[in-house]
Amino acid sequence: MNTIQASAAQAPMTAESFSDTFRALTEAISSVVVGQEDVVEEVVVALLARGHVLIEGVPGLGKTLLVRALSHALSCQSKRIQFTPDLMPSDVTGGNIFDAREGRFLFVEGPVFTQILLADEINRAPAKTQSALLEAMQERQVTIDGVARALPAPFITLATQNPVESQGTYALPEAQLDRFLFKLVVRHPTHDTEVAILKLHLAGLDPSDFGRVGLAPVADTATLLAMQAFAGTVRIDDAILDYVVRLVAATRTHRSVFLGASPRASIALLNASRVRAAAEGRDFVVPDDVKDHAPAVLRHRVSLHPDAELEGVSTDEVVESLLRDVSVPRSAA
Amino acid sequence: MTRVVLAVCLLLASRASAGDELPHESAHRVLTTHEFEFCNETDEPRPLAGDAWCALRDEATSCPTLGRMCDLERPSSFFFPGSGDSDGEKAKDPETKVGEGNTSGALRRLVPRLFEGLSLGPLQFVVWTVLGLLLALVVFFVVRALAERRPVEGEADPAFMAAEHQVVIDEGLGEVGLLLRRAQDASSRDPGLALMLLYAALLRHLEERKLIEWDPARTNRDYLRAVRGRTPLARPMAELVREVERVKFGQREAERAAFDRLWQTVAPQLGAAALFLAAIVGLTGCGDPGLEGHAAFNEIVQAQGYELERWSRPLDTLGADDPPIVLDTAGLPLDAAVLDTVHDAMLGGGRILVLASKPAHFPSWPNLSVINGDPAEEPPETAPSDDSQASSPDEDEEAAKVPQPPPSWKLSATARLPGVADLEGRLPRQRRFVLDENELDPPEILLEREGRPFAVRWRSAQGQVIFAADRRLFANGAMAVPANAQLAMALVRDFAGDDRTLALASVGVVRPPQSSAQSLGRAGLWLFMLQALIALGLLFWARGAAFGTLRSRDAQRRRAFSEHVEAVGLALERHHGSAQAASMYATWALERLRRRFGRELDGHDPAALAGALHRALGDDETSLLQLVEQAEALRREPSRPPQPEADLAVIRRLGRLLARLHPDANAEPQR
Repeated sequence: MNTIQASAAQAPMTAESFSDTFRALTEAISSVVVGQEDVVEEVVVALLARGHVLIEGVPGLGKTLLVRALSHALSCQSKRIQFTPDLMPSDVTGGNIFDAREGRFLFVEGPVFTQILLADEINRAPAKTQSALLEAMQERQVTIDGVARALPAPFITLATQNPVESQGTYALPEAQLDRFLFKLVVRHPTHDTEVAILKLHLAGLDPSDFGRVGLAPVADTATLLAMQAFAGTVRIDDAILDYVVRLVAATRTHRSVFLGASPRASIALLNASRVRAAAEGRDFVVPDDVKDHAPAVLRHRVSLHPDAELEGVSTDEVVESLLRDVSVPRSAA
Repeated sequence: MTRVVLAVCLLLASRASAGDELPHESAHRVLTTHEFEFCNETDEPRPLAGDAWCALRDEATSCPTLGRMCDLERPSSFFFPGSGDSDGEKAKDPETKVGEGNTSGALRRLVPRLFEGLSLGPLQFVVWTVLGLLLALVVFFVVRALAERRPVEGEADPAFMAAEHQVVIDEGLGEVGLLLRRAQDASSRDPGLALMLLYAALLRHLEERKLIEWDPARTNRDYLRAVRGRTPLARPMAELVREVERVKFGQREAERAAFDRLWQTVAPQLGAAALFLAAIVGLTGCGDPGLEGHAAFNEIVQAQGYELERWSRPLDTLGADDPPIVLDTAGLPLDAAVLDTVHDAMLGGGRILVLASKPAHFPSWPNLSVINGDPAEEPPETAPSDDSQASSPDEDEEAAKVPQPPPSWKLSATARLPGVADLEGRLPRQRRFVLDENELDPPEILLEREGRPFAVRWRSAQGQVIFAADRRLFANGAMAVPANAQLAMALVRDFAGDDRTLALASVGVVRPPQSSAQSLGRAGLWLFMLQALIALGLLFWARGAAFGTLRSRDAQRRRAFSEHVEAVGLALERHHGSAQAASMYATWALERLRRRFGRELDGHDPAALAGALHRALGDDETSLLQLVEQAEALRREPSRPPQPEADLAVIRRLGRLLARLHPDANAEPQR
């Protein structure tokens, strides 16, 4: 246990200690997930905001590595499910199996019973299987044969999907998309970043043994839960609440938007903003916290009109235009 | 700008101290303050209006340096005050070296020079034209920037608001100085508000320097990012932002110490512009502290315990309950209509002190006229001659060359104005009244000059009107002579009676201009307007038709979409896809028709639509139903074999229908 972990466990969480731990965590993960600092930061924010993340990117950009590094840095358990067209809900949640020797049904936990779940290529499974995750993501429990079973805390789902392929995939329904706090877009690394990745591999990066590249656990589950609890105490001024609501409501009236974001988006934006504020050592939210996270929170929650899509408008452009148009709360007199 | 002028006026007014001092003591105290430069700046060049006052130099004991000012040669050039003098002439008085090592003095001299009356020499005309063109360009760019700004729903304007403190400051500030002053004022009672005002001043300062672009959707950190590395204010601004957000969004108590620390860091860097603005305002704006203005009179009146207010209602609403009004007619025609109004106001119980200006502006009322006196009695127009300025060790000899005021400049009070009967005032020019000797209702004569009335009064039951033949009795220059101040105050006391409030009014307020042209004429803005029009014409000529065209951020995108539609249409044409085109048009036309009758229709029933069209246009319902059915068929079958002629006929009929329902729209397809 390093010093940060020890101090966090012993002393009550403050904005400063939150910020220190957050920074240490993101720096540790970014030391192995090179060139994806923004994604790493957003994933950690989502984890602390008790949210889930949908990561869109082509294969080979380090999504699995990110999950493993995250679980290692947090000393958390992680599992991976490779979604395929023939994947069944019970393959995700687990189920009751008859034990002939004991003559009774035994519950066998599925891979969802973990702290960090990687749902790889989630859009390759049919809607029925995708929906098996709904209850787990929203209520952090799984109900099988009428029995609700709680998932371990903290619980975060990191789902990935490939934006290029459409053959043999099933688009995620709006209800499922709405459960994700963020949708992050992972892009190809730059030349220098790719060189750094190669050097890291030459140095012997092994996802099963991060110790070889010097990645040590930064915090434990208790620290993580304390940080989650602290984020819930960050103050939000009424003016910020008003701004969040105006921003989300603007998605419903934008000319290019067919279906705007729901109140769940407002809540998500609020939670993410609180974590961002704490990560910067503040115990109150400022408008920048909201603006910083608005694209990740809103981009998968708005559906565009067909004619807007025909014009080549993207949801990111819509969110950007909203951020340009919606006035922020004044802090000057 | 207006608000700043007002604010500085209030500040100046608030300085007035009510004490038990005599009017001439008040005059001395007021005129020795720094605002009245003609009394305090030894190197102040004499303004155009200064010549007439110079004859009073020996009597102007309330204005210590008026004499020195008169010794200076009046500037003969717009840009170079005193340039007509040789170096030797300028150096005659060792204490008055114009423009040498005194930059602020030169600036103060230049600024009021800019606002002086227009006497158009060739150079001045060129300078004014260039200045006007520059100003017009600035106005043009400001207007264009405002026009291109997209309105934001829910955001009326970029006003600074502090909801907790209920403080609203208008957007048009440009008033860094005012904000700083308000911040300083608020610092003792509400440091949080003071911090926010300081931050508002900083933002305004940065915007004025084009370092940030004000936008309601931008956050403090957006501004921080914008200024980073571009100004030394970036670092203190970051600290200020942290503190402001801590107070505003973190609901923390602001600390006075934090404000003081930030004030010391930020305010000095904002101060230069604010001080410059305040200098301009102080020199040219409030109260008119020049020789011909009456800022000194205002302050003396206040020092004598009167309150001043601005009269802004029409004169015919004046009644016995209203405060007495001092009506200054400077530069404005006091015509018969206004005098009738004054007369009616007096009969209604109003009290008015009318300060006359030019005789030509003052028609007879009743049987009263103003004369300028005998021109032979006028003092020389120009200041002391070169001979009189020649340095001489013998001061008596020099004083003998200074023109002395003629006896006709004397003002004296009659017995009707108590307490000042033994005083003799002095006022340039011999302006006075001529009364009709056959007047049945002769006025009371309050002040006299050369046996003729200078100030006269008529009374009604409750009201009274006093006419003073020359407004300059109340001018700052007149206040330099103590007896003038005492006479003026005696007049005011007699006029106001027990009332301790005086209202100041001008003819422009009492009788507003009847047209824009009249307003421009009164303000002397015709030359400026001409320059602005020339500038706009040049811009229009330079920029062509695009000048003044509204622009939209989405123009490119709209254009892309229209090009896309055109490309689709051309593709359909190339592939003989009339059925697809007809289907698309029919879909669009039916949708528009259904929207037009949305409330009357029941679902997508063609008969209902035909019925609604029949009721709206009066056409045969069967024919309309047939058309709607054909359009529905086109809509449903985009991939049927093309029938160009029939399809086009249906499209044209639909287009004509739409054109009749929407006359403004050209709904009929062109091809």
